[in-house]
Amino acid sequence: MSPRGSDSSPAPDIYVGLLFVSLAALLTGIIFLVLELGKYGWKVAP
Amino acid sequence: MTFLGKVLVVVHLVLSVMFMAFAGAVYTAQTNWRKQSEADKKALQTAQSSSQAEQDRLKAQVEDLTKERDGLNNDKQALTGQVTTLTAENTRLDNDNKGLKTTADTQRTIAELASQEAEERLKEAQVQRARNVELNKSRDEAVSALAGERDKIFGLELQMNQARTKYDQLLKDNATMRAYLAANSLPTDVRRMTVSVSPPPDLDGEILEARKETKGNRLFVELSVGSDDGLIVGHTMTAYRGDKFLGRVRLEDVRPDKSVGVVIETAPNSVIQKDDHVTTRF
Repeated sequence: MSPRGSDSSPAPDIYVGLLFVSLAALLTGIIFLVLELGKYGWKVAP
Repeated sequence: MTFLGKVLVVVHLVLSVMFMAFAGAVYTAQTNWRKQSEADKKALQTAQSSSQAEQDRLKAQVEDLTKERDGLNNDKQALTGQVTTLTAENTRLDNDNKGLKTTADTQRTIAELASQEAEERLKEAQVQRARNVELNKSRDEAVSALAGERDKIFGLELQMNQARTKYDQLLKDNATMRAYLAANSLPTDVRRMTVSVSPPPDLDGEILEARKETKGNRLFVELSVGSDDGLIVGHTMTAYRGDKFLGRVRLEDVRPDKSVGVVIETAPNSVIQKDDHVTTRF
């Protein structure tokens, strides 16, 4: 995190990459769950 | 970045990866329980339908079997009755069989007697056959005689036909003669002809009774002479009393011992009475 008021944008580090990886994993998991829910017709309760 | 932020980033990463892994596992290894449930429901409905149909079929089968059982019970009762009847019939037939055996023995004895009788009849038949031969001979003779008689009959028929033809011819001749006699004013009555051909014999008689006709004026007299004396119808006799001529009488009915005549001529002033005399001499 760069201090407020600084003009130079901080350089992305390994943790930013880890966050992107984490985002991709979350999106992938959400897609799996969406596809799974589509099999049930978007009905949670019978 | 603080150390805590870094730890949180790593934890966040780990948890995200784990979330992805679990979600992928769920997506790939899950079972669609809804489809399974619907399939099971359909299978259940199918099974229920099959079960219902099977129950109906079994009910119908039970009803059929019940009816069949009732029918069999009825048949059983009927057969029981038949058994009873047949038992009684069997008993009766046994009795009949005994009676028939007795009858058979009797018939056997009768048959033996009949056989003996047949032998006797055979002997008698041989005798009758010989007699039949004799009868055939006599029949042949009778047939021959019959043929001869038939020939005689045929000859007689021929003679009869000839006589009939002659008779017809004579009838024609008679009619012709009668016509001829009538044309010549000659009598055609056979009795008058007979009287003229055969005159009465000479005989005397007596008037047994004299009676006048009830309707008419003719006088009938009964005479004491008849056909035994040679008189026939049509002859005339003279009535007299003493030496007096009384009249003439023509015979109308002649019996063997007497006759009846009608007065055809009367002398003037004279009456023919009972006990007067008649004669054929004048």
